Amino acid sequence: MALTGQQASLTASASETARPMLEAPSVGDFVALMKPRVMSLVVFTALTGLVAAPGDIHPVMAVIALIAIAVGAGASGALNMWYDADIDRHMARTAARPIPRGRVTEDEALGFGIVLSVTSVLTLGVLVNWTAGALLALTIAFYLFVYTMWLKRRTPQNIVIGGAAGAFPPMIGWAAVTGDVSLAGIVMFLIIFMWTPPHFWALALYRCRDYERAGVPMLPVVSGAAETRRQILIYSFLLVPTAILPCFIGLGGIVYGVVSTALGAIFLWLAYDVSRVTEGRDGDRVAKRLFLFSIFYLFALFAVLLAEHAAPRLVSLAGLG
Amino acid sequence: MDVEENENEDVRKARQRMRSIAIGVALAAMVVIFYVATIIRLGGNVLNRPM
Repeated sequence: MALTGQQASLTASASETARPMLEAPSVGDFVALMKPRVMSLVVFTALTGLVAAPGDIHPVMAVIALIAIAVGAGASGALNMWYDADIDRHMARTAARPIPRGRVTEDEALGFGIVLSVTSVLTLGVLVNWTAGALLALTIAFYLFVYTMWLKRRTPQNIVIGGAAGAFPPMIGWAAVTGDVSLAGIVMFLIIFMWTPPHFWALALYRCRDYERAGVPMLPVVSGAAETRRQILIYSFLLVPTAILPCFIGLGGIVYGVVSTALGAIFLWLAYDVSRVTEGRDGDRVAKRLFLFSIFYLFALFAVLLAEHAAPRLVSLAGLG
Repeated sequence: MDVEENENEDVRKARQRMRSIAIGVALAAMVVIFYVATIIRLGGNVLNRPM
């Protein structure tokens, strides 16, 4: 029973009130439009793809590529906030965003997002290469049109398919160096793709009422908490082997294999806990614990990959010095 | 009423100023990035030309 986009917007607009513009927006408001926390994960995973890729890129060009990818991710965030302003007002997690607070108008957010999208794609395409530029354009378009506009308000599978948008950055980083999309890039994509459902459904479990009030058909709202817990466990079992794949294609070394296996075991244990503890505050507590651990898990996996590939380069640089 | 209109006008002007500054900073940043990237791409070859 998925809500349609029209139902969602009707629900959302029921108690909507026009908010006066109290004062001019600050730089911080525009930074907030770019979802800086999401940007940090995007930059970090893109950096990993960039460092892990075979070949050389001038350090300044690498920095320019990362800035373009970060700005592209920020553009997606701004466009997402522009489109979702009506439902953001109804969720505690998003009510303090610049548009619901009346700090930035919807038109300003739209203009900001479009300008950032165009400049980031052009910069990456012209200065680095057009494979990376095209992938960045695809990422922004996928996040806006496929996830935000099409799936988010229509199906509980929204974050399963929409999660692809968040999975592209390491592939873009890789393409910035090599100019192509390789198996390693696809494996890094798959890790984030498989990670997204258990990560967001753990959040949705303890924020279920928020999503319900806003008319967003997240899995717990549509299929219930029990089905969500079952799906979290299934996707966790898919994620952990996927995260070990880099060891079999030469992307990850021994350290990565050990860390990935150990953290994967903890991930599975926490996901099992979520499926086991279903009642009251304890149910929310284990879901929140999985959500927070999932962030650490992804950062840790990419940090180890980054370290394994950066270390030999740093050693050789030091040797040359 | 007049006070309210003046406040709205002040907010509108402040927004316009903010937008102008943002566009200026963004353009300057783009120019710097493209300039630096061009110099890096040219590398030493920029000096290696027939006189």
